[in-house]
Amino acid sequence: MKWYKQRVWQMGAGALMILFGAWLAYSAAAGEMTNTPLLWTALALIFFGLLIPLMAKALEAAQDKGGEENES
Amino acid sequence: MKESIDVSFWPWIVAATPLAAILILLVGLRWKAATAAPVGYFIATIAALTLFRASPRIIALQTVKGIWDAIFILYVIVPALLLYQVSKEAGAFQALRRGIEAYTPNDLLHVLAFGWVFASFLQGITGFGAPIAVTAPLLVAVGVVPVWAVIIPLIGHAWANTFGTLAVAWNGLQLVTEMQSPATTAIIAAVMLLLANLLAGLTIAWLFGKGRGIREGLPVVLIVSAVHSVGQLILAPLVPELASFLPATVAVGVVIMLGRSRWYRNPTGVETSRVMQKGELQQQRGEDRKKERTGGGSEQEEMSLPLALSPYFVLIALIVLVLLIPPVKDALSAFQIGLSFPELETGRGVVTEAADAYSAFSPLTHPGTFLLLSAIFAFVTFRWAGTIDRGRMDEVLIRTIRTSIPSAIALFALVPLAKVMEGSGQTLELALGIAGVATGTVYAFVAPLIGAVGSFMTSSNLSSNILFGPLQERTAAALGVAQAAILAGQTAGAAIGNSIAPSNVLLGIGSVGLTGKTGEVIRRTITYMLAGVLLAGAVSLLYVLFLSGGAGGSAQ
Repeated sequence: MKWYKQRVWQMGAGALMILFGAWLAYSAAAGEMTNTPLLWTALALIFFGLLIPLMAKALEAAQDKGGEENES
Repeated sequence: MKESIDVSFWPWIVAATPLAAILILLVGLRWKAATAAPVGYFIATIAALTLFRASPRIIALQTVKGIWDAIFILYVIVPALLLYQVSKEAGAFQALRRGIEAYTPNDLLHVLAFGWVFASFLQGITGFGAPIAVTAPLLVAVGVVPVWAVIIPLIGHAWANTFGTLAVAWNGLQLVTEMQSPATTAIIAAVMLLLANLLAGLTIAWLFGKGRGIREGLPVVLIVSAVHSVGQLILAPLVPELASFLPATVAVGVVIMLGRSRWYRNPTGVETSRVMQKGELQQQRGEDRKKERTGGGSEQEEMSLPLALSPYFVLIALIVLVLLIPPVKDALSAFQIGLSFPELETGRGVVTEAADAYSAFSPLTHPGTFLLLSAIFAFVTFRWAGTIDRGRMDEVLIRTIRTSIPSAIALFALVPLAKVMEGSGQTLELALGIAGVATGTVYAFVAPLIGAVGSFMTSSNLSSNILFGPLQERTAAALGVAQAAILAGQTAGAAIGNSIAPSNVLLGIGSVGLTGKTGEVIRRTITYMLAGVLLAGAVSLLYVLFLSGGAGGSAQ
């Protein structure tokens, strides 16, 4: 299986996304003025990074279900 | 943080939901931490944005704080795993097992020595999960099943949390509260931790061989427990910084001597232990005996015990040199990196104070650095001794990174979850809810549980004390309960609660290269944690009822 199709490296990409999002979030919100568009972009990155393992799990469950239906 | 908000039923239920969801998903449905933790984070975030009226800015900055903290937990996990993988690749663990078995063949003593005595020694001097990350691989080396190799030090080190790491958690509690009687509080906490310590020794012996394990382990459990506990009881009110470290160091010497005593110089009488690897270990032992008879052995198997242990000697030397010599520690900890954060306030008036250097990281005194240096030392030394090929290093590094990634995702959700709950007032809501429905005596009993909840969420005795210490102090005053018992219960409960903190569990399973076992570890450890917290609650209750003039009496 190609590396990018492996769950662990997908999670690795998610972890990098979260780190980048955290850096953006700090830049956007730690000062006196909040950069709202940048803040939402940062939060979107963090949320998406955290969603990756959940999406992978959902996908796996759907594939397992599909496999079972095909077998029957 | 503001310490009074209006508490009502539904917000309390909502505040409890993220923690309940994580426990159900991890323990009940056996999800992996990397998938369960984000669910908890999203629930906490939605609750914060809606019911708890936190702005997106609060969510973002609290999340950043959590990720910042998580990075430094990972900074312990990754080097610990690297050290494990390098030692495993070089065959150091087989050498370690053979050497230790030659000293004493008693598996029960090995398990208690590494999982309880050595883990407590490391907790006495360093923290940040290093006792788990270091001892779990050593337990695997002496033949313990990896999952149990994580569970055993989680139980074994917990008692040393409050006065360990040079009493940083205890000093934190003193800092955030106006302790009326520090000596009395320290003694009560030491009594609670004495019971937790004895319970830890007995639990590990029971896990090893049930009734037979306890009978066989009783001499070492009683002797070591006496050394740990009496030492801590005497030192806690006088020199709290050394109250864990000194007794734990003496106990290491005691357990080495016990290895040659009549109790432990022969193999254990427990025939099948669930914590020990079965087929593989027996096969290795058979091969060892065969080679002893024929005098054969490969290049890897010729590694000596001192060589196999050398990275750990370097680790201990670095820790002692840097952390116990004040001028060295002061000089090296002068270099710190910390992020500044503004003051934040939710729509319900929960204030998180500004920080100039939030959770400042001292790279030169951090256990992660010591572990990294030990891993590098291990590679160079094993390479020099010819027990590891340079070409294998790429594979070791890739394996280390692969195994660390699920822990990273779980930590990037779990620690921010705790921070979002804290910043939005959900944590305060939870604690005030418990405090609000309790009478004086009931509160005395549940105070350690609040400490344990704090440390389950933050994975830190110190953080739990900072988070809940002021609340416990105020509630004790409002209910007229002895402050000393409540604050002792807070810190002892937090110490014991650390044994099931998901970040610590992740640290352990990461350091032995396991994934997806977080729920199983918590499920098997939670009974010890609950028993320890109940015992601490009983001590607090007895003190309040019989020694302090009762609930509603003296608040001393």
